[in-house]
Amino acid sequence: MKITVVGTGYVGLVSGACLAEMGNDVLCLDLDPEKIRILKEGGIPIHEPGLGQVVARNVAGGRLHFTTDVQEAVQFGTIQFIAVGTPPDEDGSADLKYVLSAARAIGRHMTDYKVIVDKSTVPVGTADKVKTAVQAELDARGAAIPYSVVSNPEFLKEGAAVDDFMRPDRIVVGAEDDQAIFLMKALYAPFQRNHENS
Amino acid sequence: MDLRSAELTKYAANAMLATRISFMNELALLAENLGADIELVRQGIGSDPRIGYHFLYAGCGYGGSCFPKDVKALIKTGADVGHALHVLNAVEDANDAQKLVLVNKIVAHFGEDLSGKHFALWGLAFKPNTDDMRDAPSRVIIAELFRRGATVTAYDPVAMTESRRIFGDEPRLAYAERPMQALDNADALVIVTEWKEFRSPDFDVIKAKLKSPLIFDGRNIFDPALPRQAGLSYLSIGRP
Repeated sequence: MKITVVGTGYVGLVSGACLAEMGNDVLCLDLDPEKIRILKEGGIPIHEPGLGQVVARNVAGGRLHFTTDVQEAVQFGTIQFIAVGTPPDEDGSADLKYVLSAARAIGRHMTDYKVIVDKSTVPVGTADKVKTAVQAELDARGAAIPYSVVSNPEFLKEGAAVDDFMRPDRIVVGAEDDQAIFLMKALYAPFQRNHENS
Repeated sequence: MDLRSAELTKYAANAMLATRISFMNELALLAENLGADIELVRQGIGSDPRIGYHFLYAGCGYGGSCFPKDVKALIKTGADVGHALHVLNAVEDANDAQKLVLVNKIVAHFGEDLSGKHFALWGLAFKPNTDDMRDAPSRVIIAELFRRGATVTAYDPVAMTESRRIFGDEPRLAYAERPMQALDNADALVIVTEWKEFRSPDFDVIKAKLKSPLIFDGRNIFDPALPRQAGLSYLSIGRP
């Protein structure tokens, strides 16, 4: 499957690398040119056991790519993972500015059906805000393009992130339509060959 | 599942884990007062399959990029809809207090004023196998030692670059290339992160290097008999 991952922090980079490891074609977007430079040169900007090898292997295999080009990234993947940071706001609530900025960028540049997946840890109700943001951008350019919004929180532990992603205890997906559920099940089937619960 | 349930699941998982840690940390302090050993209590309750062994380790507080942030955010989400989360408020308060437990023990030994004292600190990352120092107990401990007039030499296998970024050219904080080098001229050793490479040190070397033969262990990584056999005083969390 063709997948775009927005954000190359812990969650984004591990998700992108491990999805590529399963044979998917993955493009990771980050607006920080320094991070993308490091990744393109085969390094990783964080310390995480085993991640460097997975990234290197999949870059070499041609399945894992990096870019700072938003339009290229949005048009690449059928599945668009939003895995940007949600730093605490002054009052302790999660700041959604990066999540919603990613959602608007997807709405602005998409030209065909997208599954937009909230991978970041986001408060209840964020999926509705993401939908509103995407729809506003589509309306602004008079485009009627179908899309689904999915919640797929990540449970990986820093320090054991690659193992956690490749062999998850559980995969939680919140979705509302059959097409999104079908695609998400197909995407994660290789990661849970022992069991599936809906 | 539906979208809102999926979104809440993530917060519920992290809040539950943070709750287990704060619960054990409070019980560890109680155990100290009662002359009980929290490590034995942990094994005793962990063997119950309804409880399980995971995330029952008493220590010097949880940190990192997820638990503190997610507990705070869930409390705020509750407040926004007029629903107070009493348990999670207590979890957070207990954790804030727990990050100062090691300093409290240091103060109990050396007194309120730590001017001129120098401490070796093993571990800066909020947990092993990462260089992440977001909300790490080490930051609270170092700041509190500075506030009381002390200086610190720290060692961490991977987080020293991150620490230099955070603390900048702070003159009261030095770094050691090796764990044992951090002990030079130190009054005591403070252990904050349970890296594997800290688990089997040569206690005779530690005793010889430290000015006072004293280890404050925030992660209970040693069998207390081992440092004590070498003539070290050993203060850990929730253990006699």
